[in-house]
Amino acid sequence: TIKDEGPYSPYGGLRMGMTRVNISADTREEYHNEWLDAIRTKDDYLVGGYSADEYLSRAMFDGFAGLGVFIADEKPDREV
Amino acid sequence: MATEDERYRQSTQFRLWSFSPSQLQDLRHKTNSLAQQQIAPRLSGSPSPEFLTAAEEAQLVKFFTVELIRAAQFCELPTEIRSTAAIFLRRFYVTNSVMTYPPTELLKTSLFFGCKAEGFYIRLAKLAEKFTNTSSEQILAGEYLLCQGIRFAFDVRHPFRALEGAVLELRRKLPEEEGRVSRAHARAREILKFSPLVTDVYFHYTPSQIMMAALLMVDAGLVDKLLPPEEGDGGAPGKMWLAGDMRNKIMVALDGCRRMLEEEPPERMTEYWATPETVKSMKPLRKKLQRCRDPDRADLVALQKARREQAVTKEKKTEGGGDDAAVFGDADRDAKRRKVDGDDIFGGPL
Repeated sequence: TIKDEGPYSPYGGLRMGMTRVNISADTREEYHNEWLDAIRTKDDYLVGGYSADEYLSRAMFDGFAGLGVFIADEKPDREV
Repeated sequence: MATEDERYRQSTQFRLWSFSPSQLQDLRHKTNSLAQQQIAPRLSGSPSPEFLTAAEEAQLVKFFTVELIRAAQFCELPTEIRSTAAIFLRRFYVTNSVMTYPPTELLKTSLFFGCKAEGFYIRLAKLAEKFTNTSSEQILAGEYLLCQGIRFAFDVRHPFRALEGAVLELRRKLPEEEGRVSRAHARAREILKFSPLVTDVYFHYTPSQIMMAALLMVDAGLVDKLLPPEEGDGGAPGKMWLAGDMRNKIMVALDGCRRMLEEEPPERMTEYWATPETVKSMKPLRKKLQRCRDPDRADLVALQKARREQAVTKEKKTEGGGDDAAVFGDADRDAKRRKVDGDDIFGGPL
């Protein structure tokens, strides 16, 4: 018998998407700050291959990751 | 459950260095009483001196954290490095007592190691040059000790990039209120550079919560924009996660974090060293520390030398019980080793 493992996942079940903000291809361009505008337009960055999207997703991840983690509630019974 | 939260829970910051307030307090008390027990027999004076209490130790650590921030500013180190170094120092003194290892030395070591941890490989001699009466050997002597103290957790998550993310989101949502957002951004950044480092918020809250709490101090309306209170509009990805009482729980956490941050607003930074009252109030503590510190471990350079010599002599000898005891601190390690020897090498049966 073959166990049903659900639909095929190319990343082996690893999900790195974001659930709290939407930075899909069509909304990315709506985000602006000095730094992002510079790395999107200046040749110094473009030619070197610096990724504005990578920076954006890191900033967004940092901004919203762990908001629902309540340390005081999750850690009380662990022995230190 | 949001995948972002799951990913944060995998970090060493959450697994090893996040505690509930009571846990942290217990840890500090335990560290303090252990240090007292260990130091008392080593001090020669027959009536053992008055030891620092856990609260006094915390006060001293705060003082030395501010000193570290000042030193980092003096060396013109970037914000992230300065913060990482400060957190290293604070973490080290959760499980080690100020009386055991000298904070004035560890301060420079964590600055040096903070640079390394952030991928900024400053020359050791160059850093030592900046401080008076400091050799590179002195900075290095505490390095491995520091690594052990922070349990090899070198990745510290800071709220600075989180703030950039939140500001990006705010700018998208409020394109016509540029000025307000920029002002809040600047002020929140100022808070994040100081307040979280001298309080315990890094132990009790996640970086995004710390960032939001700083924003809450500056402009509460902006936090409402980021965590919209009105009910979701049909499956928009930004709203689902605030359903139920999630938003309330987050707001309660943010409020607690904000109160902690407000105890140490950035304006107090200069107070720590510029006002004579604070300097004076630290003096008795430092004097007390002089009297009750561990005589064998105050000099890190000598300590490292002794450990090295011991490692060399041990290689030559097969049975080196008496020799090990000459260098203190290894008595407990030997006890452990003996226990393992008697048992199965992989430990007892499960």
